[in-house]
Amino acid sequence: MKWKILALFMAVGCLPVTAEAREAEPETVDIPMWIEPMSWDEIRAQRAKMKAAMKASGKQAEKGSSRWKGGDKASGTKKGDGKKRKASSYMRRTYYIRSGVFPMQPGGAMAMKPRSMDYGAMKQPVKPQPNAHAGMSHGEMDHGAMPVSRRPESGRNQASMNNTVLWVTFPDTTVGQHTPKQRGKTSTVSFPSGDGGWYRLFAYNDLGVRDGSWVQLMSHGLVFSHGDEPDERKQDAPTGPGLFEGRPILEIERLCDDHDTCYRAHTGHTLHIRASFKGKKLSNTSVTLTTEKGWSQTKRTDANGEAVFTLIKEEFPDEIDTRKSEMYLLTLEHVVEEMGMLGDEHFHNQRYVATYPLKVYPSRLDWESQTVGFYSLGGVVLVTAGAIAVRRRRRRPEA
Amino acid sequence: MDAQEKRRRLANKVKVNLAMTVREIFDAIEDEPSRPQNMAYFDRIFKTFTDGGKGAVPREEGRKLIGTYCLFVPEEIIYAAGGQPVRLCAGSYDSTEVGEEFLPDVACPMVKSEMGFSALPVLSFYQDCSLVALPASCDWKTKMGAIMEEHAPVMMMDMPRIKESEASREMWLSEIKRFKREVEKVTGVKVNRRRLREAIRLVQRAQVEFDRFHAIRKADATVISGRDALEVLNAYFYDHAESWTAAMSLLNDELEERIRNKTSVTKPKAVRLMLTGSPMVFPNWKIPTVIEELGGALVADEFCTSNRYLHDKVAVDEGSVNDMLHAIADRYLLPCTCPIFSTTVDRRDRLLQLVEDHRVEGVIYHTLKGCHPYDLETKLTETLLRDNGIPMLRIETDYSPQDVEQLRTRIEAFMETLTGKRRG
Amino acid sequence: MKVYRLRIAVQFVCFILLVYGGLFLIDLGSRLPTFSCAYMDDRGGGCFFIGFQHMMNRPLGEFLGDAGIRLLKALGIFALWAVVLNKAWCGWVCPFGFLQDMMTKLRTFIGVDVSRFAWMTRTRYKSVKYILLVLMILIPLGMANSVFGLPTLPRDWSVAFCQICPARLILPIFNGDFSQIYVDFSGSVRMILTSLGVILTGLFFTTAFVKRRFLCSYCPMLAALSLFDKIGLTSLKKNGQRCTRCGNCSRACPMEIREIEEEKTLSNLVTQDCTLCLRCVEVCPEDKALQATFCGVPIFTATQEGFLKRQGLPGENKTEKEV
Repeated sequence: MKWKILALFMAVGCLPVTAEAREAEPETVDIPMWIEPMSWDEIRAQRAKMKAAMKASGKQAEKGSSRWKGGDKASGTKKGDGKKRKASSYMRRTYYIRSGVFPMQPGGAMAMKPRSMDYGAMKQPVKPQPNAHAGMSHGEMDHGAMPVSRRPESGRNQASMNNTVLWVTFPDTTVGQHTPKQRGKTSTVSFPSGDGGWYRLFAYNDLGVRDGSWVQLMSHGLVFSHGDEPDERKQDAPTGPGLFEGRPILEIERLCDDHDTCYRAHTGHTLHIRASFKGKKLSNTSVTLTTEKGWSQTKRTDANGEAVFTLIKEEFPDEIDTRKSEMYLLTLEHVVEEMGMLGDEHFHNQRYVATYPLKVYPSRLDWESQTVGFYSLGGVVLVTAGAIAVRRRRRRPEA
Repeated sequence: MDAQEKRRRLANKVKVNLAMTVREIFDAIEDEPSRPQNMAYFDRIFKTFTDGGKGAVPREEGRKLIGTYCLFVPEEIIYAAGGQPVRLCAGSYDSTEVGEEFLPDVACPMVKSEMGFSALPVLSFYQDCSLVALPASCDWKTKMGAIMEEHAPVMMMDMPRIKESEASREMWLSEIKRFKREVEKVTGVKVNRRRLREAIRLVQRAQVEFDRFHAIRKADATVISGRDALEVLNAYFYDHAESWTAAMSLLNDELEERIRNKTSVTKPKAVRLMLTGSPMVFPNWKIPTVIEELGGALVADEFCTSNRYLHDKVAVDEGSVNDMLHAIADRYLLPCTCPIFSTTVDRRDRLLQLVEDHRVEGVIYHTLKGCHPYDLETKLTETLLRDNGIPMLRIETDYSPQDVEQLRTRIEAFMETLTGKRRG
Repeated sequence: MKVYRLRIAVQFVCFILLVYGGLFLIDLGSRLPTFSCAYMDDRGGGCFFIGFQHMMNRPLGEFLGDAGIRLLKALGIFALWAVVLNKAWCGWVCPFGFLQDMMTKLRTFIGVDVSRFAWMTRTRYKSVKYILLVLMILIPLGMANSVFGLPTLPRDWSVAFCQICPARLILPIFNGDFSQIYVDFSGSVRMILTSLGVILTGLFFTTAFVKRRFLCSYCPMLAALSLFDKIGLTSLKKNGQRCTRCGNCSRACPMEIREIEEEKTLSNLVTQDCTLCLRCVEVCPEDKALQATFCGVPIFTATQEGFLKRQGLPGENKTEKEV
């Protein structure tokens, strides 16, 4: 009798898995890829390790100059101009290239998969249901912390990550190509960030032909680094995988207006993007913004290829952590009905999936009260003015 | 004879004696050919002393007369309130005898003289005052108030002796404000911003003319005699600032002309002397008369009745009434070189400056008997001048004409020393 | 010459330059010894302090390396600016000083009387600006370094001075930005510091209205510049011999400095509170008693004539509201 129940349980328990597995093998592959920065904890840990390593190797004498000299030649730094930039580990930025279902939360979240064919529907946020996903590792249930240990979902993507390439446009307008390294089950890539200014990131992964479609995954990013701004350097238009006439094939650009200067994104602000395909504006294409918790919104680009989203706020904690950011992911898919051959495989259409991950910080209005500020100001003015007036009146001698 | 009659007779006696003194003075100086013509205006004021002082002080219809003593009472406020200030410091020997009835023998002759004039109707402007502002500067002045009260409407003003303390300045400012309120009560006119600013300007214009005059006296040629210089500034006690300024302007023009023509009132090699010390008020011209009769050139003086009176200027900063009052209070207290204050560094600096500017060869330090502040200053001044190589003659006297001959001898000897020093 | 009027004109030009200069692509660098607040979007140059606080927020060891070089470079530029103009930065350039002078003008226009410190007040609180300056150095260091094993100061303390600075709240208003007027509730330290900022801003409207340049007495920029008092190229000299101690200078001085009046032997009168507004020289009636110099060359001397002209003489009986 017990065996039967157990078997029943297992069958029932496996149902979602099998259902999931079945669901995971649809005709179309809607798996985006995105660039993710290292969390602060990880960066600190990395720096501490480097420091310890330098100490151990007797480079103590160079303590003061570790910033300018030395260098981490960990990842291949092939730049457009062919020169190697000298930078220490402090002056490098490291990113993960991940792929899979977004958002990926430890314990597995039943998030809605971003569906590219959804026209303007607003999804309801789905509560995370633990234990519903096999194959996901149970990381720390650190509620509220940045998800640290994420892994690609299935072996399928893992294999295809090997083809990923990262293009970086440096502040001096040169473009460098970097190859991510596989470390365990994640892909990491780093590039020197000694110069101050904006860095544009573009990750490209050619998945090849899957289910009859030539699938190419892309991801964009924009990051600002403090430092001395370099002069512009001329360079020939770069060529390579994922580029069309020097620009990404499917590009999502973040447009910055007065209030939103692209330095940081805050909840409550607008996200203004423009999509272009092979240099031309991509209009009437649906773009989906998804949050970590699973909320998503889909909009269509207008005639200029632009779309505007409002970054909603999802967390309302009692304790405010002004530095806590959330990852929001913007996904766009463009299908080109063109047949062709890739190597010896035949495809009947091309699917380009581009993402734009965004670190969204809480809006200052969460902890700054202008009302209190203004009223306090008024109060102070009235009180002190009154005090001064009273004092003057008292001091005035009798007529 | 009843008391009333007695008083009348006494008043007459003083009047007659005063008239004689004044006439004597003018007989001596009026006919000097080298005297500037524009002195006539100022002579007129003093000649009225022969006739009860009528017309010395301009009396516009309805204008209240506010008497002042020393140079601490702000005249700007009086002008602003529509009053006419008149400084009541007195130099007449004849009225000192009257004053002696009220004051001890050792009192300084000036307060005795003032007391005399207040008690008896000799000079009309003493009795015509609607208010008499009396700063408690020296001991005599402090006590004189109470004694004078039955003869004149006295308002005492407390004076700080230590300029450097914050409390002093605040006290003085509040005294000034109190004075302003009293004057307003008397004249019935409120001192507002516009009036006060105009009054300050009025006095400043007079001071500009004084500056010119002062600069003129620095010239090599002595274009005006010492007595005339004292007279001109003494006239400011009585005259309205505006008419005084106009007359001064004419005089200054004439004197500047004289500088260009190199017309001098003294002989070319006359010894350059400076007078300083206790105030010297008309007709107490004993010493300058002697000096000038002996041929000395009085090129400078440092008296509260002449040089110091119009030297410092009120500096308006922001222009509100309180700010102007603050400026006035500061001007009347801080740069004042009167020795009633605890530190007199400024006084000594000023003396040195004058000596330098006017190329003075000798200083005659004059103290009145009973004048303690100047008495106490003598030693310090003597040391200062000696250290700077300037001979000083110390004279202690009072208003009586009896010691003129002794003074003559001493001054003559002093002048000879100076001449000798020059040669040697 | 009415230096007061010239100074207001120069202050106005500098105000436009510093508050709106960014619109004309003017950038005077971010090491200026004046309050050109970094929170203004269109600024034409930046206040030294914000960069300074960030630069000091480093572990001590790093000062032997490039952090130290960076700091020295910044200090060097600051020192150069300071040595040339000395305290004239405060009296002629500072936008916040300009605003306080405008409050004074408003007050005299309305006809409200000035308030003055008691002498003891000034003496007693002279050290506040130095304390603020020292704290500005210690707090960022405390954030990056642990003293005696105590925990480092939390991030709430970052740019602590900027949090209390009233210029941060007020100057961006001229760029149309009222968003700096807030109280930050994300932590108790931040709440206190930003509240202090709001209180000081409130005081700007009232006490700086009645007391001239009230906030300047407590300004750490004044403290920092005062280190260059004696070596600055722009200076204020006094000839004690010619001074009659008439007190006009101290009365006209917005910072209520007593030393100008009292000193008879000292020659260099740029005291720690002095903003080189040259008001004292303007109201001094004695020839050559006070003099403003640049590299030793007199550029403005007190003369009797000048004094009288500025007082409005010779003039008709017209009243002028202000000298």
